[in-house]
Amino acid sequence: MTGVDRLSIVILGEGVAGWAAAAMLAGALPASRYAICLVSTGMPDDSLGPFGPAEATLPSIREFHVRLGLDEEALVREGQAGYALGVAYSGWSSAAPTYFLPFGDVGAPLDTVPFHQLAGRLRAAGGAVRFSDFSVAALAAQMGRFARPLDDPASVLSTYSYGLHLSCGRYVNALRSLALAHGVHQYESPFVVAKLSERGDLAGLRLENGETVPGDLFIDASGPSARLIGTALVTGFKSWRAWLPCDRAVATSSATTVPPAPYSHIEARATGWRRVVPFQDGVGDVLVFCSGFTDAEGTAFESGRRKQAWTRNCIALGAAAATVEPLQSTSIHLVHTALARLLRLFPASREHHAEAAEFNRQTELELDRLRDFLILRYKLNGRRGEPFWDAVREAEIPEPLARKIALFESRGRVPLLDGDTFEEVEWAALLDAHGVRPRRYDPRADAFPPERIQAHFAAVRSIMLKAAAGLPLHGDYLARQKRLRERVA
Amino acid sequence: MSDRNIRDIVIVGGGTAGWMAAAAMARLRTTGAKITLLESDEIGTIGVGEATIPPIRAFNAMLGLDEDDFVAKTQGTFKLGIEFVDWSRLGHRYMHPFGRFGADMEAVSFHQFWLKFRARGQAALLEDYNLCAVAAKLGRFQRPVPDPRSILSTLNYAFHFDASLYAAYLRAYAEARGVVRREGKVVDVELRGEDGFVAAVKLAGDVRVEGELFIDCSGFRGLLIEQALDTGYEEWTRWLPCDRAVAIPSTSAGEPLPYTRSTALTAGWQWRIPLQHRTGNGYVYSSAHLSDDEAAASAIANAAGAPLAEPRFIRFAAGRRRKLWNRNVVALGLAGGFLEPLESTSIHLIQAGISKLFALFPDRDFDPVLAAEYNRLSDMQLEQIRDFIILHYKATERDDSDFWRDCRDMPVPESLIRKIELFRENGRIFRHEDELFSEASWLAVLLGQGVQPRRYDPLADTVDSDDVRSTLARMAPFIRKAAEAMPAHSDFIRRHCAAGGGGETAKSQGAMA
Repeated sequence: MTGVDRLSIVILGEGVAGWAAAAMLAGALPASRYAICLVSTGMPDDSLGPFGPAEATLPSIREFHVRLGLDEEALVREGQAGYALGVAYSGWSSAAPTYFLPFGDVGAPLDTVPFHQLAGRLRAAGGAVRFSDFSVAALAAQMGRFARPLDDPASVLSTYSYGLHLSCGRYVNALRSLALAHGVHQYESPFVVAKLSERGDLAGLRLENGETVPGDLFIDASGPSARLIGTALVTGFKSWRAWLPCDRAVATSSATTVPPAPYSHIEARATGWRRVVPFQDGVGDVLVFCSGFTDAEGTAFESGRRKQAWTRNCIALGAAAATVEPLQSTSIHLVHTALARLLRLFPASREHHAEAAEFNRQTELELDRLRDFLILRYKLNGRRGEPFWDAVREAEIPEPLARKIALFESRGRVPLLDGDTFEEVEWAALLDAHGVRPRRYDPRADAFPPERIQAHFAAVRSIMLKAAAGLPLHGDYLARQKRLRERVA
Repeated sequence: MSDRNIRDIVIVGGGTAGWMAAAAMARLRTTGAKITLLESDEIGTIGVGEATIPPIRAFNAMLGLDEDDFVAKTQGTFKLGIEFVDWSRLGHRYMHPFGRFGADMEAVSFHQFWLKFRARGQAALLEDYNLCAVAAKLGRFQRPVPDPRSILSTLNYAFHFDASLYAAYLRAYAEARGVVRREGKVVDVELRGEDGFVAAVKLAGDVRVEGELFIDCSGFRGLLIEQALDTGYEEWTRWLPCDRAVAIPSTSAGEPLPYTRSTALTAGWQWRIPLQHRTGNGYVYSSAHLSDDEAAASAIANAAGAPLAEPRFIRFAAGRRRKLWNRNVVALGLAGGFLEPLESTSIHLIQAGISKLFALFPDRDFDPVLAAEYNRLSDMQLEQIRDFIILHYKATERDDSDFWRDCRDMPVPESLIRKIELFRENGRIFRHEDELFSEASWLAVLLGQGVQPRRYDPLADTVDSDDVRSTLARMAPFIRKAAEAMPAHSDFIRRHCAAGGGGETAKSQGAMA
């Protein structure tokens, strides 16, 4: 063990990614050993990419907020946020005009035979089964209802989960208060240029007022322009354009007084798609499309990732590390997993070659597997006759994705790899929604006659329908939380 | 769909691998499949696998075996870990125990606090924070309790047993469930013209046995996978230079220990595996560095007691078959590859092969996707275990023989270098893709072999130092007290699972760990 000195960490970017980093690192690292400050870019927040002022998240955000010590109820109340039970997709698949991917379980096993294997048996016998008919989250979402799930594993109300719909500006406020309370220092004057040391590391950030902020470790949360890891350190970019060719975005938001739906909606369009994320007093709207197939104007971007998210003494976060279309509500999730990974590998000194190598190995796996999940939806699209969609359907796909599809077609199984964000059931649900059917189901399902399986399915559906119908309307639930708060205050 | 189900499974070779496969496959009888095992009394089996690791309990549970009965019938004893003697340097010993070290605090690994306070002289030996290690050294054993609040829930165990008795035990199990054993020596393998799949094997005396799925458990030779299908073998001898073993059973000195011992010698290492009726001993060595005669003399000199049989030699080359599943043949055990039993993984690899085969079980169409996935998963697992074993050789300070100097200086796989470097920097360990060996296992061996982290994880500083210091101070005596209250290993065996007659013991072959 060598002597310990205090390291200075400088974060560039005052958006969601930068303030999430500030709040997380300042809360987790011992203040005796690290000093943390944040420098702004002087630009609007595009730290998660050019996809607009609202974000939908995965259920994993709850764990992150617990770790941060961020009160979720207060965040929803004061940040005008909404709850999310999943995502509805329209116009993507020829097998289902609209399908819903819920957060939570689908169906229930019969004597340890999994639900989707039972469904395989029913379908082989000529029956039709739609997975989302057997999910509390999907049913409640359709009814516009929401309440937090129960902990009691005996209740059907414990079988779902939820994410959040956040208005980014307000979310930043919550993260900033937390970070400042943990002692993070914010510089008022914006960033101009990075200074390098003799050996080529980042040495400091020069600000508009002439001051230079020195540091030992830098976090680049400056969005797709990646002004530290890209501009200053010239780390290369690995493009995913061959598989994910969308390269323009138009983001807007509008006010509304309609109670928000507890799900976001993503609709496929002739040359791309459109996403609507509802929160309490507005909706975020983003159009994503491919410039090769339309003359429409928009903010340019390129899907892909930084070759090394940790280069020298700089770690990239958010869109500075990777631009990932928000088709799967992963933008904020990726910031969180990167921060968790960074904390597991946080350097204790100025030498951190081994940590950087491991960080990059894990980051690369996570991003490439997520890339595969995104490609799947394009590859299996059902929009025949539209040039953009025909082109993405014909494109070659990465080998690990081809393997997943092939094994699912063969046996109904999806081999998970290190770095996979989504579970086997989520892969299976998406493949199923796009009409991919395994050639064989589990022979154990043959133990039941189709009538027995049908009766089981009917019973499951009836219990779930009843449970979902008993939940409050999402708008009422949000209003009740506000009233309760007022009464306490 | 069910009309494409496999109807005919043929297992070629008895021994541990063959009978484990037969016992597990027996449950497919309910789907109407016929299961045949071909075995020849003329061919001796190599009882690889006398020492095991904890996942074997899941295999036995899957079969529904009564654990006490199985231990009694295989002259078995319990195992809490492996002791490594003279590995990092002469005169040094360490334990690689099952079960965890200490308890994590605030999501920071226990050993990070240990590193911090050890450097200040305020912590005991790492082993003193692991109940399995402490109990092993005291010669104690009991099964874990389920209550997670009890320290006794951190116990974890496996077995030592006589592998030929284990095979016999599983044979009785499988035959009772409809597996048919046929006596006979395989003399020829018949391939289908159209796709090169195995159609049938021919036994001496012009007997032809047809099948749809063949499981090759024929040992090093790989009768089907290699001799018939020319699958190819990838050698790992540049990292694992030991290529021979000499096995010798001996009498025991005293009561059986609840752990395996591995002692590093001049040109390899010697195992000592305590059974109820005797002790298994054997020297795994490099023939380039040591003659067979010297190895045998050394094995006898280092045995636990008086020899009970002539020394028996085994030759091998570390490595793996290029495809463990090729066409309609799946290779299990030595037919699939060889990794020396330094971490007692031989039986585990058989078991893991069987469970992967169940997860990817084919029908008569033999979708190539299934074999590809099986091979990918198998390759990954073998490489992970290979790296873990190489670590023992590479990270050594010994320079008292050419063998150890060669090991110390050899280049090792990139994947292992990364792990060592990461640990050396900050004591961090990451488990990859369902890796068999846990963080605790890597920790025990990395530290045991003398790889010292330069620093501890800075997050360890977020937990109050006084709290940690007092936790550390209380924990070791607490664990020791718990271990002292456990029954002696030999008493536990006498009470629950003592071997019956013992008349059959003289017949059992000296077998490898």
